[in-house]
Amino acid sequence: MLVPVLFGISVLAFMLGMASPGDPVEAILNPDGTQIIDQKEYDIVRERLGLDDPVPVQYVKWLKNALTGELGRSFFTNKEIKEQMAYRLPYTIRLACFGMALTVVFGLLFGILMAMRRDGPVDHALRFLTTLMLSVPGFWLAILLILVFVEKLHLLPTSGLNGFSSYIMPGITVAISTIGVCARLTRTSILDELGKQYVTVASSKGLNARKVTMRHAFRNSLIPITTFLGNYFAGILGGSTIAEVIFNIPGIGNYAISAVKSRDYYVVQAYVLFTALVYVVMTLVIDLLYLVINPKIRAGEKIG
Amino acid sequence: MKRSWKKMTGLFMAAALGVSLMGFTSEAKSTEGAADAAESLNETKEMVLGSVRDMIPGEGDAFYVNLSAQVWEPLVINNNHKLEPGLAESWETNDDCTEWTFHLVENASFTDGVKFDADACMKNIERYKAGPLTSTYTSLSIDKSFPNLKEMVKIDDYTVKFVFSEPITTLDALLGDYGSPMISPNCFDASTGEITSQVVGTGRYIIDEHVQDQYATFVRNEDYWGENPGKLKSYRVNCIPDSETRYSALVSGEIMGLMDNGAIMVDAADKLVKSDDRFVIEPTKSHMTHYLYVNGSKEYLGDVRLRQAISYAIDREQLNETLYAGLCYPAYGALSNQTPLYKDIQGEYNLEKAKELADEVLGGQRLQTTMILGQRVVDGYPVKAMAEYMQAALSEIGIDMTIEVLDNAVTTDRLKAGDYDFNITVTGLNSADPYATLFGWMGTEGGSNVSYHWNYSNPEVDELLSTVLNEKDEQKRAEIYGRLQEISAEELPVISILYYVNVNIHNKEVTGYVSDLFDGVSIPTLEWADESK
Repeated sequence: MLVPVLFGISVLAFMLGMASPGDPVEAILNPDGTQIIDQKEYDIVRERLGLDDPVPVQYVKWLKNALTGELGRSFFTNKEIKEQMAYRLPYTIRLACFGMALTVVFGLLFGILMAMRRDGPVDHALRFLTTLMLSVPGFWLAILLILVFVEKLHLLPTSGLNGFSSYIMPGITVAISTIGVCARLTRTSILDELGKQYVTVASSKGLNARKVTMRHAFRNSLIPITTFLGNYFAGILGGSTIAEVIFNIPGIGNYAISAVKSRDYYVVQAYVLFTALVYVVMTLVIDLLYLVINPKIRAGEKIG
Repeated sequence: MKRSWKKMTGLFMAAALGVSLMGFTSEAKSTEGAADAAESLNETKEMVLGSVRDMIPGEGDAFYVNLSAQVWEPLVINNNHKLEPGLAESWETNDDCTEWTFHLVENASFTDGVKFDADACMKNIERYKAGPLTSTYTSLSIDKSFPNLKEMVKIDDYTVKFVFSEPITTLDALLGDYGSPMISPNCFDASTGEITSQVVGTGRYIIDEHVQDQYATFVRNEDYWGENPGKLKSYRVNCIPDSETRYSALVSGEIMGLMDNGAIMVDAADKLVKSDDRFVIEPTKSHMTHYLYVNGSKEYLGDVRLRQAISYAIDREQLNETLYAGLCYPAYGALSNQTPLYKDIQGEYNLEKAKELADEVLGGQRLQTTMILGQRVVDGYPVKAMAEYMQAALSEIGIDMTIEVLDNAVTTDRLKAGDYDFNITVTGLNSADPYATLFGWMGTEGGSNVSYHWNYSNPEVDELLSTVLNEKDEQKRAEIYGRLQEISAEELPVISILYYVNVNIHNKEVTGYVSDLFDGVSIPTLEWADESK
C-alpha cells in the first residue's frame, strides 16, 4: 500500500502547488512585494524554473528527481531543499520529542489519576484543568508565556536557540492541548476497561483497586492511547507551525509556512511528501506497537 | 507475561523525557565579552538587534548578506536620494552617454587580503552576466545594472570603462547600492554567478558567525580602507520573524533595537515609547510609499475627474495623525521622496471640490466598488484601518466600498486580472533611477499601468519618457522628471497617500540609531549610549 499511497500523495502535492494562486516568478523577483518587475528578467526566470513546460512534463521531471532524493532548489532562497530539510529536521524532532514527553508524562498521569479517583475532587479538578488545557489556542498561550516568562520574569529567551531553555515555551505550546486530550482519553479508556468482566473477576479474587487499574485496565487501555499519541507525534514531526514561527525554531513547520507564503512550490511539494511519509511510517510503527502492547493481536484476535 | 506494568510505565515516561532531552546541546553563546573596566563598552559589549529576516540569506542568494550589515560595498551609494561615491571615487561619461568611465578607490582591499582593483571589479560584473541572480532583497543582473553593455575595458589598475550599444544617462543611479555589489573574487564562480563561500567584502564589518534563520554576528574590519569605521567592535542581529515576539524581545531587553521593513507598526512603537521611558523613536524617511491603485479600466474610475475627487476626499494629514502618530508625510506625487530628482508637490484635502468632481462623473448615482488588500501589506502596515477610513471618506462622494483582505498571491492575481476597483499598496524604490517607476506607472506601455489595468495614457507623458531616456543634461533631466511628477499629481494614474518613515525604535542604552535607505540600521553610527555603564 505504501507505494500507491505515496504516488497518490505526490500527484496531489504537485497539483496542489500548481493549482494554488500566485506566480512563483513574481514571488522570486519581487520578494517583498515592493518592486516593479522587468519583463525580460521575468521571462528568463520562468524559463529557468521550467514553468514553461506542460504540467505533466513538469510533474514527471519533479517525480524523477524526487525518487532519487533530489527535491530541487527553493524558488525563493535558491537553496537545496534536501539540505534545508536535513538542517531543519533535528530542530523539529527535538521539539516533537519534548512535546511528546510532556504529553506522555502529564497526559497519562492525569488520566490515570482521574480514573483512579473517579468522581472525586481530584477527578473534578483535573477534568476542569484538562478542559481548560484543550481549550487554550496555541498562539494565545505562546503569547501569554512570552509575556510572563520573558517580559515580566526575564527567565527565558523569547525565541531562537539557546539550549534547552529555548524549547520550554514551544514545548508547552505544542503539548498543552494534547495533554488535555490524552488525559481525558486515558481516563475514558481505563474506565471502559474497569467496567469489563475480567476486572470484576480480578477484584473478586482479592486484587486491590490500584493493582487492577495499573496491571490490567491501564495495559488494555493503551491501544487507543497509542493510536492517539502516534498520530500526534506524526503531526508535530510534520512541524508545529505556530510554535516554530512564534519562537523562531527553524524547523520543518517554519520552513513550510514561509514556503507557502512565498509560493515556493518545490518546498511545499517536498513538505507534503515528507509529512505523508511520516504519517505512513508512524502508522506502521503504531501497528507494530499494537503487537507489543497486546500480543493477542498477533494471534488474530479482535482488539478490545 | 509477568512484567510489572507499573515499572514499565515509569520506564516509558522516563525514556520519553530522556529522548526529549537528547540532543539538547548547549547552543548558548555568551554575548558579552569579558568585562574590562579600562575599555569602553563599544569595544567590549556586543550589541544585539532584532530583525524580521535573517541578515545573511547565505549561499544561493545574489548578495549573500544584507547591504546594511556593511560587509560588502557597492560602487555607488544612494544616500538619501543623493548619489555618492562608494568603491568608485568618481565617474564620467562621454557626450552621447555610450561610454562611462569609473575611477576606483585605490586603497581598498577585501578582508581576505585581495586588492580591490579594476580586475576584481570587472570579475564581479562578469558575475552579473549569469543573472538574473535571485535574492530575498532584489535581483541582480547585467541588464538591470548595465543595460546594453557592449564591453568592459580596463584602462589602468583603478579605472574601468564601460561601453554601451545604446546611450545610458543614469548608469550611476542604476549602480547605487544593490546595483553594484563588490565581493572578493574568491567567493564566487563568475560563470554561474553563484556565491561559493562565505562572502568577504571591503566593508566596515566581517561576518563572524552565522546560524541560519537564528542570528548573525559581525566584527569590525580593523583595516577598513575608508572613513568612519564602525564604532562597535561587534554586533549581532537576531532573526525574529514574529511581530509579537520581536516586540517582547525589545521590551525584555533581549535586543536593543529593531530593524527591517515592518519590524514594528508605527502606532505600536509610539505607544511603547509613551508607556515606557526606556525606549525612544528616531523617525527617518523611508523609501516606502503608500499608494492607492485605481482600476482605470472600470467604468467611471478611468475618468481623471473621479480620481481627482478621490484624492481630494482623502485627508492625508488625518490619516497620518491617526495611524502613524503624525510621523509620516502626506504624498501627492508619484515618486518616493527618497528618489533622486524627486519633486516636492503639495496637494490638498478638499471635500467640497471632491463632491463636485464626483458628481460631475457619477451624476448623483452611487458607485459600488471593492478594495482589495494583500495580507503582506496588512501585516506590515495599518492599511486595513486606512482602507476603512477611505471607505468612510469615499462614501461622502458617492463611492461605496467593500474591503477584502486576501492572500498576497490572490491579490496579485486579482490585480492582474483587473478584478478589483482599489488596492492600497506600499512600494519602495526599484533603483535610484526614477525612470523605471515613472515608465511603469505612467507610460502607455508601462508594466504596472498595463498589468494592473490602470489604462492611463497621455501622449505628452510618453514623449517626455522617451526624451528623458536619452537626455544627457542632468538639469534638463530633472526638469523632465519634475514635469512628469506634476502630471502624475494632476492626472493620478496612481494616487499617492503617504511617505512612510522608519520608526527606528530602540532602547536608550543605544545611540546613533538611524536608518539607512533600505530600512536597515546605519551600523557605522551605532554605539552604546553611556560609556560609563
